Amino acid sequence: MTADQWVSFSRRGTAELVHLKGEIDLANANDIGRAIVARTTAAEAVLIDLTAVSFLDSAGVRLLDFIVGDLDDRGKPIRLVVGERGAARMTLQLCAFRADLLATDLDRAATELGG
Amino acid sequence: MSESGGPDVTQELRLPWDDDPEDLYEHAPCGYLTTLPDGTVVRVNETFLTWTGYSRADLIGHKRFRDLLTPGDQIYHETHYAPLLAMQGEVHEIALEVVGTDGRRLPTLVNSVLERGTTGAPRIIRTMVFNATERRSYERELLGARRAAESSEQRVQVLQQIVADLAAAPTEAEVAEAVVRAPEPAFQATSSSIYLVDAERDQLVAVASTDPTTGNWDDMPRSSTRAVAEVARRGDLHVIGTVADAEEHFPDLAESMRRSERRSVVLLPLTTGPSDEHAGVTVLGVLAFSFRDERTLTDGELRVIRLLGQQAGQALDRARLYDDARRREERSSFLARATRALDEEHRLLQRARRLVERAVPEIADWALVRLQVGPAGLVEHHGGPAPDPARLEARTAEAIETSAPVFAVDADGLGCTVLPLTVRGRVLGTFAVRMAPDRRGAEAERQFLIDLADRAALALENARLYEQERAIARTLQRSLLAADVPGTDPRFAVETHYQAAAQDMEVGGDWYDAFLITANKLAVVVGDVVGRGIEAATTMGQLRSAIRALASAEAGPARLLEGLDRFCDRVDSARMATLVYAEIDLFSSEMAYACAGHLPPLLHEPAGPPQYLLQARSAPLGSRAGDVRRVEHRQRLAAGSRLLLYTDGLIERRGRGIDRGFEILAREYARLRDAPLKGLTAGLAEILVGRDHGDDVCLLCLTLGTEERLERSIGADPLQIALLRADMRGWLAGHGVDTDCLNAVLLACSEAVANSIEHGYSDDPFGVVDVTATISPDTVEIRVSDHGRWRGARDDEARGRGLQLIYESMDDVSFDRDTEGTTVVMRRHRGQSSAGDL
Amino acid sequence: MPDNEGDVRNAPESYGYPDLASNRGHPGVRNIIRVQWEGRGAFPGRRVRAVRRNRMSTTVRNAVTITGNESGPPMLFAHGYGCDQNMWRFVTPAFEETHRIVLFDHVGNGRSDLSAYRDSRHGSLGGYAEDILDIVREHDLREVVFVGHSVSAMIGVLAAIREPERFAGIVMIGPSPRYINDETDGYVGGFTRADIDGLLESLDSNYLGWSATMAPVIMGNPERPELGTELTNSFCATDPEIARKFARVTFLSDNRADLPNLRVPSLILQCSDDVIAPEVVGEYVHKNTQDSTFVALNATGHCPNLSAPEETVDAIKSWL
Repeated sequence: MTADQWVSFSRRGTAELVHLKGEIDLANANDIGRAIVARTTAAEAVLIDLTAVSFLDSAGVRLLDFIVGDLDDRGKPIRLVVGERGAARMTLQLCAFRADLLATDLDRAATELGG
Repeated sequence: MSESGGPDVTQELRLPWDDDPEDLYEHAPCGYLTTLPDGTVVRVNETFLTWTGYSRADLIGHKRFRDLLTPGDQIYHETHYAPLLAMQGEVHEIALEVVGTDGRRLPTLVNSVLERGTTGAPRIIRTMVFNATERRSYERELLGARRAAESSEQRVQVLQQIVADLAAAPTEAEVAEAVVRAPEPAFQATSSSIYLVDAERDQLVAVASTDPTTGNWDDMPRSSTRAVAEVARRGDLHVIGTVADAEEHFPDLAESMRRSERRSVVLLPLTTGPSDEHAGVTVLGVLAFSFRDERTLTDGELRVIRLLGQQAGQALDRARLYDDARRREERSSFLARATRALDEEHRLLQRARRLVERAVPEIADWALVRLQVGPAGLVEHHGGPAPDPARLEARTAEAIETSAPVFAVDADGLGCTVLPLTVRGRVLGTFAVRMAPDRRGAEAERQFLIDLADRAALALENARLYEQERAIARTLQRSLLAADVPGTDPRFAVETHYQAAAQDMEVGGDWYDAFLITANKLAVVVGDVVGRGIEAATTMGQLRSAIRALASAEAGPARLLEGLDRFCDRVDSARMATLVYAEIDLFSSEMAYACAGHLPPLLHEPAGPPQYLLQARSAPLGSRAGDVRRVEHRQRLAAGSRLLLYTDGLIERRGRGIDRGFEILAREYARLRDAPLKGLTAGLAEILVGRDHGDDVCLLCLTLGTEERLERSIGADPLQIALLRADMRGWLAGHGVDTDCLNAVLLACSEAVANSIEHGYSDDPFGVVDVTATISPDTVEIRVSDHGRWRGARDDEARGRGLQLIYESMDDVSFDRDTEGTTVVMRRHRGQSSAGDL
Repeated sequence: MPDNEGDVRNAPESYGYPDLASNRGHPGVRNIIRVQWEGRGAFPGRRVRAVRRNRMSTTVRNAVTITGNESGPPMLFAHGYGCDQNMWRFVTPAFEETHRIVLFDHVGNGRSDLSAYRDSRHGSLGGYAEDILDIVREHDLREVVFVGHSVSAMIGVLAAIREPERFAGIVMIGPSPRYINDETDGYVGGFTRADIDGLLESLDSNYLGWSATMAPVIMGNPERPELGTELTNSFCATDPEIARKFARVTFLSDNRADLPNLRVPSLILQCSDDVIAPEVVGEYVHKNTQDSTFVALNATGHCPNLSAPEETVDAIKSWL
């Protein structure tokens, strides 16, 4: 299965920008994770845009947790952009993701990473 | 005895039978020789001495018997006579010539006996020599006559055999084989070869030889100076008796005679036509045979040779006619078979593939079709090896440029013929084939290729047009079907499915549509236009638009059908289209429907089994024979009802009656009652028609109102969770649950189902998870049950996070796990929740 | 066409024996090499191609008989012109204890299959050498001691030049690389061309008698009446037609140029007073053949294996 329908990539300055959309759950999290890791293992900074995600379950959380851990280990910054409300924000908050990882505004997060 | 006392004359007489043995030996009427084992003469009689002129002293102790023989007989003595005598102890009637002192040769017949000593070692040889002068001359005559008779008899036999073989040989090749066999047995030729005239190419071709170990097998032009070509032109028998003769007339022949150690050669033209007048003959080939020694042919032999040339010529002529006829037949049969094979495929790519696969290996060892379609073009090839690409490119360009075939010719370095595929003056592409070299020149072959290219071009052009139309029709159909079906209204949900026929059929005229006539009135329709292809797709689009235009809050289904009947007067292709149309009042849940010649909708209300709606039936649109008094029927639908509209492709199946189709559909539909709406229509199509279906299938399923209670059973497959979520999302929204609560419940429910799949059914891919959702003004309650055996849930960190999410997002969670399985019951308050301040 | 009829001495081994039309009654048919027309159906594509023929077993073709010590090194005895394997009857017993004895008849002689005779193959000594190699290969003989009488000495030399790895040694009894004198270089072979014609005549003279005993051998085989009394010359039976051809090949060949190419040790047994292969010829062979041993026998004539078997055996044994 290809993850293309849920994930796409672009660059924002030095940061690798990952766009996620749709429902991320047990059925597709692994494929999405592989696609993201392939693009981010060597990235200087990573922005993951979750604003278009309509559902995020624990499998999705596990995937994000892994990527954050990987970036942290390498000393590279990462931000997860979520909306003010929405399914992704809810799930991440329920899982008590660190507040410094979450951002609500893509541009601001990009600037933070760039600076 | 005399008593008279006269002279006793008997004393004077020696009785003839009382001969002196010594005298008898010496004067016997044959020669006697006694020799040592090595042949040295030790005793010889007078008769032998008289015959030969030798004195006793010349021979005894000085000569061996073999020394008295001619040189040839000396060899014969040493190689035959002596070994035989040594082995058998005696030899009889060996013919040898003894040379006398005056050089005169005495033909003799010789018998010898070897006498062995007591030890068995050879002691002496006794030899008896008969004068055989007269007998030998008689024998020679006899031998000559016999040899002549034998060889002529043998020739006749061989010729008879050849003629029989020729008569039985249906092809040129077999005639050639029969002829090339003749010279060895008939004339003691050392070897022979046969050349046939290829009139098309104006060449002589070597086809068979009894000794092709080396040599030049190249084809030669009929105008060649080589001896074979010369004889073919002259048309009469040439006997080249010596290398010197050849030197004088045919230098090439002399050269090869020397090389292959031949001293005489016969070149026999194989002719057809009147045998007596030279002018009228046609030369069809040349039989060449040769001899290691100089050979003189007798008149009798020459007659037979000429006869052979005529017989062979006639057989060749017959075989050629036969070959021609058969080839013609094979060609037309090939064309017919190829055309039929192309017709079996509709698609362009498949047709192109068929074409090259037909051509190889039957007529060519490599074939390629190239079509100028689409941005990249289309190339199909078969066989191999592929020819030089640059040369092929050049020839292809030439064929396209000139719009005419470019035929392969000998030694053109490519060997491929390239034919333009032309339809109505337009070059669609090219067809390249590499045929066997001998097929290249023939005019009949060229015409055949042109025929083939014409047929292929037409077939490919039709396929291209078909392809084009199909693409347009599909695009059109897709664009129409994909148009916005309302999907966010919590009061209803629509699920559709369209499945094109598996075989490469033209696009059909099936369609579905769902739209809101007013804010509170929904219309759903499924229909089927007669015919296929772009016209059907267009008509479908027109009908679809017409329905949207005619539908109004006031009209109702019957009036709408009347409007469509009028529409058929203008759009004739819409005539006899069938459709089922329903309007649903979203306030009152009242449905009005009408069926114009279409299959009845299938309704499944929350209570009871599914039922076909058989009211409000009338004829297809614009029907002239049918009853077009349009009627409609109204009935209330219970909340949670599911209405299924479909086209005949769903239930009509070869080998299955339509009643049986209805039965199966109703049963399967009932079975899927608790399945999520999403994926339901695709699932039904899968079950009822499978993938190998011959017709388009179109389905529309409408779920009306909101069930009080959501009950779903899903398979233990992570992909199913999303389908469940879609249903539940609609259900929750339909009950006015606010977004935060909705998201939280979906999350908890998903996690609980994921738990069941991952742990409850970790070893059971066929497990089923039951989900029940109930709602009250205050609370949403979700119950997730499985019948699996949980394993390792507690120490799994990931699942731990799932459980954590369940606890976090719901207000009240309880697990009930026993040997039968696990049930999770989760509740969340509606509105502002205590669980998570989101 | 001579153009296409190459030197049969170099004919590749693959031209074995055809099974083509073998029952048609004329032996010449066996010589056919079919030039196949590919794709016989509608569209014959010609490629001049020789079909590989089925090989006849040498056991039948050459009437091969094998005796002696099965595990001993093989000795292959080849009879000379005019005879057959019977001519070794006084010699082979001396080797039966120690050697595997392989006897055979050249095609056209003795009990060989006459129908296997082919002008193209047997028109030169090379064809006979191929027959020898067929026997050696079929019975997988290695380290062969080849004993060849008369013309077979040369046939053995040709075979050993082609596949030297098969042969341990060549014994030549009365060899001659060329029987006819060569006036251009003064070579003395002992005969003139006219002498050989005389031999052919002699063969003809004895033809009636031979054909009487060899009744079924003539091609076409018409019923023939008995002529004269039946002869008892039952050994060394030869098809008269083939005998003539073999005589030609034997006495008109010139294999002098081949001798220096022999890489296998050889023994030359030279009789005294041998008109077929005089001493000067034997010496010529010795001089032009490397690693050759020359032994002059007391035996006279051309067949020491018959006239002086003990001396012949001793000479071979001491060389071995």
